Amino acid sequence: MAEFDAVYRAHVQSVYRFALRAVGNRALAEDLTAEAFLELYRRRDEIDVSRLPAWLLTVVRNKARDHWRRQQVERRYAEQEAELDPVETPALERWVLESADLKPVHRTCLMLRYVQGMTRAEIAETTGLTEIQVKGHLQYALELLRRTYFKDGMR
Amino acid sequence: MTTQPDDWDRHEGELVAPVRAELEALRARHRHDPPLELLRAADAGALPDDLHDPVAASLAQSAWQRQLVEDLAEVEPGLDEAARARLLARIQAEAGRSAPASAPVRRFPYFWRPVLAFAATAVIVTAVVVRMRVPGQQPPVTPAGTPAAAVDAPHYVLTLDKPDVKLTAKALVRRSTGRGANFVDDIAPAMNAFRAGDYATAAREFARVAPQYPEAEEIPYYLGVSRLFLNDAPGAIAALTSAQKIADDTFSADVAWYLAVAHERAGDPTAARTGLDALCQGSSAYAARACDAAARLKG
Repeated sequence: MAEFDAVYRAHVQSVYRFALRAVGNRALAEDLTAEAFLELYRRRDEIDVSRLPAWLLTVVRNKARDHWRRQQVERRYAEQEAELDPVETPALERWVLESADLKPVHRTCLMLRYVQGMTRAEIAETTGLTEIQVKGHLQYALELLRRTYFKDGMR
Repeated sequence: MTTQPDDWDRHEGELVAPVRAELEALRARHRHDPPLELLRAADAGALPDDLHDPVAASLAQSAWQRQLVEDLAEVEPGLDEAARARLLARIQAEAGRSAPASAPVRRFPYFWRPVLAFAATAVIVTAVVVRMRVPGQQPPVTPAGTPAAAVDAPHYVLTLDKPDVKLTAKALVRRSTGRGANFVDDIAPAMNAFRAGDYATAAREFARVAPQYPEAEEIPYYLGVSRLFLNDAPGAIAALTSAQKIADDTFSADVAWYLAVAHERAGDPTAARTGLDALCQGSSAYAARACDAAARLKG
């Protein structure tokens, strides 16, 4: 595996993004990414590059599962009632999901702020945006809501 | 993680006021949703089995939860140059500490020479980028740089072939939401890049026009295939899953095939097999290939 640098450059971004989805934490995602490439380095004589990035993603996935086992989230989540309210989807939820003018970044900020109940700082930490950007996206989303939600008669 | 009223400034309070009760109701409706980090982990297949099932079931039932997971994956930046260089230096340091005594001494410096060169270059580039960056702007998200052909595929059961370019009949009359622009004209730069095999440009252009055409299955489909050629299997899965939700007969089999390709490349052959089994039972042009590939994946 003499082309490690090329392999690293080719796959680090997708491995990191996958790790971020798998554990939801930037620092931990970097840890898992580093561990996966380190494992690749240690086993460089065994691993065929044509098995990448699947092999790296599998390493990350297994390490993420270990992480969640250690977190003992099973008990915490099991204590909750996980059933969705069976009533018809509320008009505001439909607007958030279906509004064509609401870009993913606006919708994400809106959902995290008013439904997940996050502060701007927490949204910034979760999304990788700055707090100022979060504030701007929220303002855009709320103004769009005011302009179109009532006007379109979705209520 | 509770939003207190004093976290809202006056302007935000005024904007929220007309829908405050509805937002509270929405929050109450989703109060028992699994935590966000579990939803994302379930979507990535990264939860232990006993935890995966209830969270994945919740995810499957809730368009709200799926949208949140997909949007977040779209919004999050990847690693910038500085982070990539820092991570590389860390791997290098760890590798140095853990190198077995019996490892060939000459191999290590030779192996890391290009890596160090890349790290040094990355640091220099980062310094330039940081100096040029507009304050407050997010670092650019760059896809993996090496063309797929350099490291791709002979060992995958599902080969990655470039699909023919086609459009749905609806594409000819589709217009952008709110702008009245023409769909075919708007996607021309992305399509031209895709035809030319410039997948980085194609992916960037498809992602750019996607918000204007949320109902156009062509965009997430070709975005997903472009990401596959860029070795970004998780990104391809996100795009193709979006395409799957809106694809009509023109694209549904294509989407299912490339989604299976993406799952295999993401290290999830079980998901790939599930998609192939469904294709195998259908009557599309992919049916025979899917039956054969599913059998080989099982083997």
